[in-house]
Amino acid sequence: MARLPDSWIEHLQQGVTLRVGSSTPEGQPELAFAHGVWALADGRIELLVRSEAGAELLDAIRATGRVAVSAGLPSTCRVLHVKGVDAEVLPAYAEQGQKFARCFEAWLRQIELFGADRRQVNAVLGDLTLADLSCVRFTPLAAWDQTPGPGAGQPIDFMP
Amino acid sequence: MNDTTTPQAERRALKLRDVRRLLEGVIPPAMCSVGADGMPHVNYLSHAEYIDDEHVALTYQFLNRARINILATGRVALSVEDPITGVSVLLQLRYERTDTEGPVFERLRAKLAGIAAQTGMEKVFHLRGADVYRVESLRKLDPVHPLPAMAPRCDLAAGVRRMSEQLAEAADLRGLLLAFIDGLQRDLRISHAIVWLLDEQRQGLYTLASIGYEQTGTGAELPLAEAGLAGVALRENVPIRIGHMSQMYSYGMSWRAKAEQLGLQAAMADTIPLPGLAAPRSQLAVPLRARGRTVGALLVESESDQFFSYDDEDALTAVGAQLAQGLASLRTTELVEEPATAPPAAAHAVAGTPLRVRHYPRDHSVFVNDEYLIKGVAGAIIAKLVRDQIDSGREAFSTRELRLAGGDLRLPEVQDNLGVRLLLLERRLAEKDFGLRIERAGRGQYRLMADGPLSLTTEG
Repeated sequence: MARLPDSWIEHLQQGVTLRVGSSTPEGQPELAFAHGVWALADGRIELLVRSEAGAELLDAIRATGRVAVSAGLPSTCRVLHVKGVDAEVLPAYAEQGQKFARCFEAWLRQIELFGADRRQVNAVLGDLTLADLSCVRFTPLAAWDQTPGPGAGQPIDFMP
Repeated sequence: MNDTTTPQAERRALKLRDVRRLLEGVIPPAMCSVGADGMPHVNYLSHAEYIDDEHVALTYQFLNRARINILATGRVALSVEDPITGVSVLLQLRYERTDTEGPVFERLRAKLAGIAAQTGMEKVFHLRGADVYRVESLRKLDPVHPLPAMAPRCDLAAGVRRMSEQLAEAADLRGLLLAFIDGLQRDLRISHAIVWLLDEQRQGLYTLASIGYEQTGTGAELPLAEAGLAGVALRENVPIRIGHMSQMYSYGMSWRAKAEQLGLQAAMADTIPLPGLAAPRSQLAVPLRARGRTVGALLVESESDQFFSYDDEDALTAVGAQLAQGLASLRTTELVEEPATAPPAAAHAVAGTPLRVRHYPRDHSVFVNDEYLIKGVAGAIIAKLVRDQIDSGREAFSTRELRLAGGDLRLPEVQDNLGVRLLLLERRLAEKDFGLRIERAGRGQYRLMADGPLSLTTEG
């Protein structure tokens, strides 16, 4: 199964800000945040989306399997864009708890660099638990380096 | 559940105007477009711009997948966020057109230049066009516990009301201008501002008044092409605002630098220093319109990023229009004479420091004791008044006399702008404190008061 190169898999662990897009069968785009992302050993990607706030997005993914994820690191503006067509929506499961906590902490450190107050962020997001989240899992079909600049949009070659 | 609190009711109730503050780009908006094959594509934008309650404009900078999708399906979801409260809003948009010139394009271009300057991307960011979209729906994505919004700088609506009341009470041009600049500071909490008026004949702007600068710059002139944000606002007839300043919109910089490079120190000698902050972080320029014409521009500045908002645009457009209307109507009133409060008096013999006035008719620049005073229409007026006082010994003069002399002075616009030019001259003389001043003696009646014997030489 296709895998993202290691450097991009590491990128996902550094505290990226995540936006997830999909489209309905009628072609309406949907967009929401995600709060954690990682690659599985087999190359598939998992991310966590708030079930309530992302309900429309999750419905679109369930209906079409289409997904596009933008993962940008605030401190470097390095952005990964990855897409899939076999996305499924699952309940978040207990083993994801530690991964989610690590992603969230890394993201907080990133946005603190820009003056964000973690107490304020925690207050806004509340005590997110796995019960509030849904897991989106998909096989990367294609990926691009979307870091702003003249080279934005260069395709990323997958590992065999 | 009460219908007014259901998500459906909220979707109906939420207006673009209510969330336009979120479009400011503190956190870059994210966009999801859809290709003809249904595949989504997510990317970030530099900026989204509120046009009206049904339309937004998005920056079109690159030829990329998003562009292909937009042209193919026209469907876009846009997510914007409030960094203070944590609230975000998802807008469903439908593409309508791309503007490559005009007010929407210029507003977006100015803001993009500011964002590029802040992020060091000036060589990368280039606006190809402003994509205009119709907003089909808005959906608020509430955080778990939204925080209260940051308190606004002041109550702008109440401030506009107070300012408007004061402007309406002004009986003459001087009172109108004072009400305006006092109101900006007191009622709208704005510390730095310049009122520019348009000189159509010379295709330039001149400073009628300013607040918050070391040099007031009253009478300072600037070619329209060098007028930065104020020049763009005036040309496009639309408020233009930048939250992170860009060199691209600094006014007068290239003009001044060019003159300095060429060593034209002499040319700078008859230039009034421009007012303005050395390093502004935010600027907003609003065209001043009255009777279907643009008569000038108001420029407000701050040393803080993102100091001005859409609400400031609304507020300053309203009070700016009232100022412009007042200038238009009161300057006509100034042309109607009423009896002077004191009979015309001959200039009394004065024994103070002599006042040597030098006049250059080619551009009507005027110097007093070798110090530059003013040029243009105001220069022609002061030269005439000094000449008349020396010839006839009379201090008093009326706007009617000046109006009749307008033809002789070959100044076709003098009649139209006489009241404003006299006000400008009065303020400039007061600031220079040469011992030469203009005092008002009744409607359309003035006196030129000199603290020393006057002499006039005409050169060039």
